[in-house]
Amino acid sequence: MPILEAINIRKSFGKLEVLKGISLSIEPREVIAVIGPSGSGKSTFLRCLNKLETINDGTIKLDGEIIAENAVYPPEAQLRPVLKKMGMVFQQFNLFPHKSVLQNIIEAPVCVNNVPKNEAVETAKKLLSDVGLSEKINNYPCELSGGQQQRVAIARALAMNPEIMLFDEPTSALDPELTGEVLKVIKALAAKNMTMIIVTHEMSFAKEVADRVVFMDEGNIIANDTPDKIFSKDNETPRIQAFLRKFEG
Amino acid sequence: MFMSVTASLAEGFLMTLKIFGLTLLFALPLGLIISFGSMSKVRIIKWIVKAFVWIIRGTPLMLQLIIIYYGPGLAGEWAKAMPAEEFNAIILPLRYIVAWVSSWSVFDRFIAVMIAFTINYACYFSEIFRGGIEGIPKGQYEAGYVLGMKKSQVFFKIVLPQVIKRIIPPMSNEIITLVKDTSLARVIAVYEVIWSAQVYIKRGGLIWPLFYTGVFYLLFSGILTLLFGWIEKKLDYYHS
Repeated sequence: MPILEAINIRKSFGKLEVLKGISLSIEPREVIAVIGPSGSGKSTFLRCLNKLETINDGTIKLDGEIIAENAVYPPEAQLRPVLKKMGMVFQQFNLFPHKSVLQNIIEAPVCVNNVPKNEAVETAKKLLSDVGLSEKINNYPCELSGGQQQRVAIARALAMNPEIMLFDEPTSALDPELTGEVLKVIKALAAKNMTMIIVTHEMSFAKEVADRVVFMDEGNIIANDTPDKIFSKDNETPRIQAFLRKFEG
Repeated sequence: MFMSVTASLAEGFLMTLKIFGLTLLFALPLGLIISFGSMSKVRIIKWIVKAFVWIIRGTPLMLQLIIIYYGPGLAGEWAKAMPAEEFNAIILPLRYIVAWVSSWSVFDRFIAVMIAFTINYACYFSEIFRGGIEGIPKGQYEAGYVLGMKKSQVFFKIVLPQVIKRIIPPMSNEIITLVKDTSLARVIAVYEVIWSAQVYIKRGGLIWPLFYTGVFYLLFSGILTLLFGWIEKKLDYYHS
């Protein structure tokens, strides 16, 4: 029984069709890496899953609950509790600059889930120690490095107790020497059996952490297989070969 | 003499403060609402609001005061003077509207001042709000939505606090202009500080009380300048 199911997703921006009927299902505890060239629709696909983009056709279900059925969305009030089971981490972190690290993390648990504040603070402290940032609890995002901000963003998403985490190029905005600390946190999540979909350009990371690698090109999924098969030297799909060769450099 | 002039100017300045305070009280929320209108996705609403803001910002506040105070009464006179046969069935509803509007002309000068100032300043504030709101990156909204927040929660908890920091400098400009604009109220004979000084010219040719009003304005705008400086500093704990 898949936890998240996307069936035949189509999405256009104006006349440009970005997703051309994509289907993907993910089992609980599975880690999927989505790779592919820029403009292939990876991020758009991820953003369609939690309605940051509305789809033009297709069905999305989380835990059997409908997020969209044939591109029709349930009313906002009904949808919100379903959508918040999906945590999301953005390329640009999107921390709230006017709130401290702690406030960033407890905001949604307190004001959306009505968790008592002291409980939310305890959880936040635990999460911050998991991502190695306990000492930054009272700092503001502008005082943190990119890698630290992204780790706070991960903690903030986890504070909502999501059933699945979506990562939209979590290290693409980081200096190379900072990507490692973020990838380490994501790997630790994988080890704790968090279900995750990760859009990434970090091939070695994808290879290491993913149970399954999805290769997208021009709005289609052209391969969906184990990392070993996708990254194998005798992968016979020329498009994938050509793409991977660029990373060998 | 000095004391009695000070007391009487202070009395006039009280009205200045009242116009100032009430204008802020009404124009700030109204400005926020107008800014939503000017950013509306419904094109017709957006263009109507933008045209309205253009008219208000494009004409002098003094003219608006005069139109709001005298306009309804003049419309009523015009309607009464119009030959009955011109009021045919088609414009019958119009007659009622005119009659209704002209009934406003009995309203108090002070209410006219408040309406004119509120509308005028709301339009200026709306443009400041619009600039501030449009400057907040889309990612801030998205981060709120994916955490399960409602649109209203995202706006009031995430967006608005950041907007406030951004708009403090232009707002302080506009608010200090408002202090001085209150002197326009006397064109429809609302007694305020400048008028209270002119009384001395008319009564005994005493001109220095008029100069003295400048001290009141300076003191008050000085306090506001300090206040906004303090707020700016308070909000300086982060940058985006």
